[in-house]
Amino acid sequence: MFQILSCGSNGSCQLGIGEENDIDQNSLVPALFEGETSGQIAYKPKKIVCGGNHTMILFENGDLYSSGDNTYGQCGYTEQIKSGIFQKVPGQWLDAACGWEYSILINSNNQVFVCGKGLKGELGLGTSVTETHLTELFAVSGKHIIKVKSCMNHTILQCNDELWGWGSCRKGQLGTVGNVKVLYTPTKLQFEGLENCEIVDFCLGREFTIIQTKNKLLKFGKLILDSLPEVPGSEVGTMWSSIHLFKDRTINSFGNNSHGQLFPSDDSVPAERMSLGSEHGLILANNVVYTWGWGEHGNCGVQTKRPADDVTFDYLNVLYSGSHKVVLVGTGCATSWVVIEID
Amino acid sequence: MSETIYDEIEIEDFTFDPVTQLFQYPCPCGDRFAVALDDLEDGEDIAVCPSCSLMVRVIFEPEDLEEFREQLK
Ligand SMILES: [Zn+2]
Repeated sequence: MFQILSCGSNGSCQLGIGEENDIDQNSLVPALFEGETSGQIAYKPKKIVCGGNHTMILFENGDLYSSGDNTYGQCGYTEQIKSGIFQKVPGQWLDAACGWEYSILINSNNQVFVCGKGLKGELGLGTSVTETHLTELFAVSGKHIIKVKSCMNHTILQCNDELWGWGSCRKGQLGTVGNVKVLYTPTKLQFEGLENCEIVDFCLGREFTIIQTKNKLLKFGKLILDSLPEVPGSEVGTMWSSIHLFKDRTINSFGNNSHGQLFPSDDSVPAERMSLGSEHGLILANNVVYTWGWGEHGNCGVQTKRPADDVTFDYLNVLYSGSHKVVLVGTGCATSWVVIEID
Repeated sequence: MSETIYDEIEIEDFTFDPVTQLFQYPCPCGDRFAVALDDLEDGEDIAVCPSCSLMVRVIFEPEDLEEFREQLK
């Protein structure tokens, strides 16, 4: 059995810990699921993705559950049976991504579905559709969808060696698009310098995209950096306004450090896994979960080195050190997630 | 450094609501930074979030505001 623990911003019940708890949580609390009041779930969560105020949890068996703000249908279901807890999204899913007020879902037939709201092409349904319940956007034939990622206003989908995208592109975050500010429908993207390169991974920040090839990183859009770091073989991740290169059990960070978002590298902890939220991060090391960055909503736990009301965690703060095995960590907009396995 | 500005955002990236006369932009907490058209016209350039302490500086020229004032007519 598994238990999904969460803390942080909960104004729209995006933590899924019960309706009566719609306030900030600074310690980990079990998320609750439709039809499962014990707070334990039989299937293993594979991925936790978060929008501005909603959360989706994808399980290894293809089930998808969501909680939080469903004003525009961004949770994937039309009727909320009981608010404040995770409810199942109809269907079986392979991948999911969340933007500010929308979600993108992929099923095993290579069909892409969207739901929610987007004024800047986030839904990919053309200029006239700015709000939708879960609906099919397009299907890919002859190719295999590898992954989909969204940030605030843009989405990129990898199909074999092609990248497709839609949403806001005014800063260049969707590559070379001509003189347009928004791509309103899924478009095959062109990124300068990516020609003939194998795509290893990509990740999206608030107004930028990082593409990783075998031997270089490419940046598109707005992210102020002196120079683009070269750390081959790193796992690359992004917060909304910074990038983080994870290699050899530590993280090198670049970008906005207004609230301690850059990894506190003097705290040497052998990181095994990293997860990055809007402006904070989590690492897992020796079954302990540490957090750093901007923690105003309890998403970095309780201050242990600075005054209690300080919102900056410029050090690694312990969020979970319990005896259960941690199998997944996740982060969202000022939310943190720790999945533990219970015998 | 209690007055740390989280980021700088161009006015074009905000959404303007002619009813409330507010410019808004998503905050990493899930709420939205907001600043009133009147305040920008008065020379204010900081948008604040009602749910947290983060602030952004709005990048604009005074003449950028004219089109929004026009929308209200
Ligand atoms: Zn905020």
